[in-house]
Amino acid sequence: MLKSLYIRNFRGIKEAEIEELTDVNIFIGRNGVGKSSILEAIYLTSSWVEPIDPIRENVAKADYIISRRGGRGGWDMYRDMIWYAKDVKKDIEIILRFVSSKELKLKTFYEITISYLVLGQRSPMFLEISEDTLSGVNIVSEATRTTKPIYYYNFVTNRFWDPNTKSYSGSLRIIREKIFEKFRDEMEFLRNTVFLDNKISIKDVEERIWQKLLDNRLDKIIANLVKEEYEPNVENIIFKPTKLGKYALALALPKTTIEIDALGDGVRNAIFYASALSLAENTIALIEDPEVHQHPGGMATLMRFILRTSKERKLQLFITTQSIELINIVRRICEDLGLRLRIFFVEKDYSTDIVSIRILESIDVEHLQKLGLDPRLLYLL
Amino acid sequence: MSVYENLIQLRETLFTEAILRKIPRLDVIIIGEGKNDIEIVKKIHRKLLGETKKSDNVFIAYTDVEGVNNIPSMVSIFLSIIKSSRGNLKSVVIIIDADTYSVDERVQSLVDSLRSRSEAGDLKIYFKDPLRDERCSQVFIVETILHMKRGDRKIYLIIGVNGDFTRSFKRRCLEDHCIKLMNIIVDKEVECSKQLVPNI
Repeated sequence: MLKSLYIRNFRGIKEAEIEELTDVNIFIGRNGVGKSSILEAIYLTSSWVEPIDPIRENVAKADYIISRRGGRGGWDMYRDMIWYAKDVKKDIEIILRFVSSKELKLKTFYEITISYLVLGQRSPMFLEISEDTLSGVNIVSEATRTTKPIYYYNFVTNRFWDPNTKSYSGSLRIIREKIFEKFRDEMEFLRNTVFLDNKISIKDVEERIWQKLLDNRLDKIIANLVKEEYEPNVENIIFKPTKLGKYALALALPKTTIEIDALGDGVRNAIFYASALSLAENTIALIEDPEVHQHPGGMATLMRFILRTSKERKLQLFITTQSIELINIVRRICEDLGLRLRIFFVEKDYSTDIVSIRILESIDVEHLQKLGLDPRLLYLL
Repeated sequence: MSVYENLIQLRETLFTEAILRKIPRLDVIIIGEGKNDIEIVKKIHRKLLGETKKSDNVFIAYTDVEGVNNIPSMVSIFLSIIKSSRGNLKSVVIIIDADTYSVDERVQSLVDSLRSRSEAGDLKIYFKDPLRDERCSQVFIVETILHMKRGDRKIYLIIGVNGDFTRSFKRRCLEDHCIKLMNIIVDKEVECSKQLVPNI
């Protein structure tokens, strides 16, 4: 599990340190302070272990964090967008500290391009390692030494990067094994990091996610979720033949079936989020604004599903929201389920662009609201 | 901007006020026991501000802890406020009834409770000894230092204890001062001036 996170030169964040992370972490704050960037930073670092998104068809994580904001292109064409103030001379640095006390210091450099690589190797992230980490391995001959005895290592391509010469060099298999041996648990935890935003497509769900759900009959729990809140008469979720000779997901009702395309945005989002999350296990789940399109009742049902799933499947949750209802719902459910919760108020000092965090426990949120202080307005204090 | 617009009722109007009027900060939060106490304090404050006009640029917010039964939780509430705040909030004012205690006992009891909970995670809070205000013997100022990772911060806790100790009430409260100001004659059998409020 992640204990803390440090981000530098990434999107609108010049620098940010987020400590005391726990089971369920909710990020609140005004528009543009960097809440989504925090999720994207974690997602990008996970590409160091596994470059391909687990729920989106043939999508490299490095491309997705860029395309999801505007859809104009991916890493190679528009990566300057993710550099703070487009200052591409400064490296992006993201440090993940785990409860195991191990630390992954990851960097990327503007010169790194990925589209020439096969999909499974499209990771722009490099682990900063010192000679100590690789003690006993003579890597000087395999990797170009920087001015300091520090190396930047890409796990999926098994290559080093030299920021001075801006070039790669190869390495021996033993280094990859040694890194994996040292960070095995942390890497396994990062590997299948799932990013849930409202851009999950019907195609992703039908062609990729639902197949895996059916393999384990997890479709039943999604049908139950729909039945509980959105459509009480649903009997099942099935694949229905379409006019084009393909199949579409549909709700089976007593007298008809409704294609998923025809459902309201709230129920469709709930199905998408719940389906994708049900496949994750022992990893990080990044969830952006789950309240979107949800009636408070739907929000409560969806969040209960998400939190129960996170407990059963050992997921560490990172949630952004603008909704005080969602915060209060999550507080209650976390208490019921025995999950630890922290709320992080994210704010930016616009004179320095340093992002700072105020950490609130559930009880602090309760106290503030009791006095009439909405936690979303903490910038007033 | 009128001076009164800087007086903000937290529970009822803060959200809309903060969003629509773009209130930049809250400098002082005044916390009373109940809604009535806060209404009285607000009226006094408005009168004073109307006379002095000194607070044009200070945003003062009012709220209460919803009654005497919630007074024990005041300490937790105060700690939540100071933990959550940063540079804008300068002071928190707590107005409590003396009830059956002396002013000193009431203040010391509150400060002792705060001191017993002065560590919250990485945050350490140091409460200096309460200093009696020079102008009012029932008001105390407690300088509070927060030791935070990003540097220390100071916030003033001002404790006002209600009650007219020149009278022989068994329980002392904010209404004592109203009785005094209105020169109401009090029967010896009256144990608390709250009993007289319906007659005023």
